[in-house]
Amino acid sequence: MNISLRIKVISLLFILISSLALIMNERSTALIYEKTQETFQQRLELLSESVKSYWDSEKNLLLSNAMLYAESEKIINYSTYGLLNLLQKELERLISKTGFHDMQIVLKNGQVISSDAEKSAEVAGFDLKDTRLNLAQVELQYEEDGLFLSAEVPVRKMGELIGRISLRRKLDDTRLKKMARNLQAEVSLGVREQIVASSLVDKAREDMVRTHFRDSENAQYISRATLNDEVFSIGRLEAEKTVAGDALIVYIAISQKKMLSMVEQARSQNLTVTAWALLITLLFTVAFSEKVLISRIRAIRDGANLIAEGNLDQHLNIVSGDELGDLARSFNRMATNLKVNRDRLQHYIERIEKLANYIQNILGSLKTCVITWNMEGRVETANPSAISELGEYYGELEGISLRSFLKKLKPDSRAEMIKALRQITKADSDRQFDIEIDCGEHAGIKVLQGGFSVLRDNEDKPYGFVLTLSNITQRKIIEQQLYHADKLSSIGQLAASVAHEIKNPLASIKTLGQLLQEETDQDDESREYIDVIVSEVNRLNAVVEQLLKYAKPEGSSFREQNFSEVIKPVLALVNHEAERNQIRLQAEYEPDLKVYVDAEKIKQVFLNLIFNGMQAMKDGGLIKVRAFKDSDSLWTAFEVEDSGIGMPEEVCKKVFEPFFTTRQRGTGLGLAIVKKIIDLHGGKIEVKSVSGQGTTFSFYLPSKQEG
Amino acid sequence: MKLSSIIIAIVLIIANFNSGFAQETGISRVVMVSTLDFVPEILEMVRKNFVRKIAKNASLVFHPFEKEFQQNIDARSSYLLLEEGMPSEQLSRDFVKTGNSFRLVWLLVARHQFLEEMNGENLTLEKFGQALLARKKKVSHVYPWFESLYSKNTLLNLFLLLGTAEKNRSLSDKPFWEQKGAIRILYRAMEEGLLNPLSVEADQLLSTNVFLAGDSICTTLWVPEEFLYDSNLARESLEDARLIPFPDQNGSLAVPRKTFWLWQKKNVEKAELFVSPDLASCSYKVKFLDRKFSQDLDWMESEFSQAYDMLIMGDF
Repeated sequence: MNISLRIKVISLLFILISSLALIMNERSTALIYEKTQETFQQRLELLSESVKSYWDSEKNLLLSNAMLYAESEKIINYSTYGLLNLLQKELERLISKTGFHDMQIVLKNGQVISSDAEKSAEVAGFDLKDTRLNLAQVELQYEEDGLFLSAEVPVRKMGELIGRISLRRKLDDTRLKKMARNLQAEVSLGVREQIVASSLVDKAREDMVRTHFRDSENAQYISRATLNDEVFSIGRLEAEKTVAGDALIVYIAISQKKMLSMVEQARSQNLTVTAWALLITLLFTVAFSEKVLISRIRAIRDGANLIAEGNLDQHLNIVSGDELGDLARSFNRMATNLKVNRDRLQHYIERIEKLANYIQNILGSLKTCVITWNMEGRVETANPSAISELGEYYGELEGISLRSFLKKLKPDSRAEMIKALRQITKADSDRQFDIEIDCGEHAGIKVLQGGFSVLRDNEDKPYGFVLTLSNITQRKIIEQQLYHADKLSSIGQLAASVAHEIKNPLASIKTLGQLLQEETDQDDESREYIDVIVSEVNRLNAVVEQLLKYAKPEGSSFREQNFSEVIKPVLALVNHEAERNQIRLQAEYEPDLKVYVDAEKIKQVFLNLIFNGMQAMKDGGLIKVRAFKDSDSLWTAFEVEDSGIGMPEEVCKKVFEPFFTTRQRGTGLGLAIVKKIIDLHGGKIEVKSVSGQGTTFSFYLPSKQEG
Repeated sequence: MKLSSIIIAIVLIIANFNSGFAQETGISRVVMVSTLDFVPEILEMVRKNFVRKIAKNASLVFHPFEKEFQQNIDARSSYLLLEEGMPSEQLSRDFVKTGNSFRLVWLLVARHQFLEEMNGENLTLEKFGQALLARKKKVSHVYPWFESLYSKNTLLNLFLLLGTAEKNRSLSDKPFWEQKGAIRILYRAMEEGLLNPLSVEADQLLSTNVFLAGDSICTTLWVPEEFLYDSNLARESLEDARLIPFPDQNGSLAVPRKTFWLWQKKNVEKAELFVSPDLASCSYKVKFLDRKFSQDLDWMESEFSQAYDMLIMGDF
């Protein structure tokens, strides 16, 4: 799925800003929380001071009340005048009207009158010498039934000590709830390992007891605790010591519920504001990006598309000085450079193509087969000559293995090639070898001369090898022919010298024979013998002449003339003989066909070939003479085809050899002379014959070349 | 008898019963106006006695006497109890005097055990003093007798019973009961530790409260006249206390008495006090000293201060 850059950027921005906003929100919430905690701490400190003040005022209040009661006329009078029951009732009444727990007066005679009638008793009387009896004191009393703050003051009548009155306030839950209301915080009092009073109730109080028990030692001044599943900030201070020396620990607990709720509310509000801000930012970003960013990016994209389509003349018209402007300018520079480089590249490509074509042409025009092999021993490339020469035997050359290649070779050739291949990496290796490929019964043997060379990369590391093969079959044949011609030439010269030596005696014989003829009558019995002698001498003389003609051709006279001028006399000459043998002559050639030949000799060629054909047709037939020339070829082709008995292949191979004949009275020099004349013209001659169907002699003569 | 007649008779009976029941359940407001003081317990005791006598459920509201007391009387009040001789000219004309009276007598109230220690029918001041002395010996730090000497009525009663002091005579060392005159007797009793010195500052409320609290063996109280004849009537409020005439040196058993006349509104049912004291049932042969409101008021306004000063200062 393709997602546009705009959505990606906006999404990324949105995620980034959202993350940032969330982080900021969380951090601000944490900061609020931290500040609130500090506020709580400060408030706890203030509350601690308030508790201390409260505690002092409580003591002062208690003391002042005790002193007030000590100055009560009723109490003084009741104490003085022994109205102890009334005194007790008065104490009880006073206590009932106030929030004090109890009050008692110890009279100097030891009678103890308490607001709690059951506690009235009698103790030892005062030692009036004890000056402490005249002092007021406030103390903390921890008893089984609770914690009490007690103020004790002397009671005097007319300046005389009549007793001491003690007023006690029980620091109980009710009192602490009142204190909690004033302080707006929960207050608990702990002595030893017990919470003796608390404004907390139920589970919160139980949790406070656990907190106190847990923190009774090494407690922090400020801490946090969960009371009844509600988080409280706990302040702890040691307010006083009891009479028994136990520390009174005051716990001030401020619920964080409201604060946490406010923090959560602030966080929620922040989130809402942040969400709105994000939404607005998103909308602005979309609009802004469309206006400022995306439209310009689109322009760059469209420009890029045009360039991608090849239009390197495209230029972006973004003139702003920002990054997109820079990008557009860079883009334009890139397009310009691309254009330059493309032109340069095109130039290189053209050069490379030319070079490749050149190499291809070279390889293609090479008669030599060029086959490249990789290191795995498989053919990678083969030039057209290779395909032409070897495709017939190997089919598709590319990809065949060396093994498959070798398999087609004759064992000797295979050994030669392997031997050369083994020496390929040797520096002085330039081993040439010949391989022979059996082309079949009719095609014979193809001889190729080859050699290996190593292909190396730029680092001179071998990555393959090249096999070059040249078809030397023709050369081999020519070499054989040369060898044969040389042999024939020697035979010819030998025959010519013999013929020359024979010619003179033959002339003497002929002369003598003719003399004898003249001197002998026709009726003479010896005359027949003499005629035979003369005839045979003539035939010998003709053989000698032909032999001399073969060995020593006459001078040539080449000139361009119409072929018709050459062939027509020949056809006229043999026409009579052809008709006599019921042979039909048929000539096919362009009327204006020009040939550059020694006309007499070529006439001799056609005469010999036509006579040769006639001699192969005992029962008549058709002899076709054709001459034609391709417009693009430098050669002119000539054919003499007969519908005679044909020749076997081994005869065809030897027909151009001197003195080879299948007839009893043939000299064996007719076709040899033909061959010699063709050779004299720089042409070539070949014969194709099928037994029972006829023989075709084809020879090719070069056209007249300029210069 | 026809059935219809029976039904009508039944209806009439029921109607009459309902009417009477409504009267019985109605609470009558009675205002008592007096120069006396009452602690709530004693006032309730008086109310109950009054209710028994009037046979009505009534609330008793006490109003201290003032010159313009008529103005303070709640209009909802159905009945008034005014001391005999108390001015009634300014009373609302709605109130009419019924001719029924309700009497209070001033008696010594003492613990039952204490009275037994007094041992006898002849109540004299000496016997009273001996008994106090015996009690003092038992509980030295307690004053057995507490009196409301700051109360004008009390001091007047004592003056009436014990006589006025003779001036320019020094206080002898004799026991208080041998002293002459109320001031000397009281002063000496205080010196002997028998009478609580705080008595000089005590009104009727305090003295009653001291007694009720158990801080004194005896004191004096104004109680309904019937209590003289039957101390058991006071048992509800005073528990183990008994009421006897305050003894004097002569054993004359004079008992100060105040008579309260019953006034009622015209539109309320006429009240009648049914219970009359049975003097014959009284174990003492007492002599009532019926107090005269105007005389008492004159003494209180003209002589009380001097008498009280003498008691305080000891200027005999």
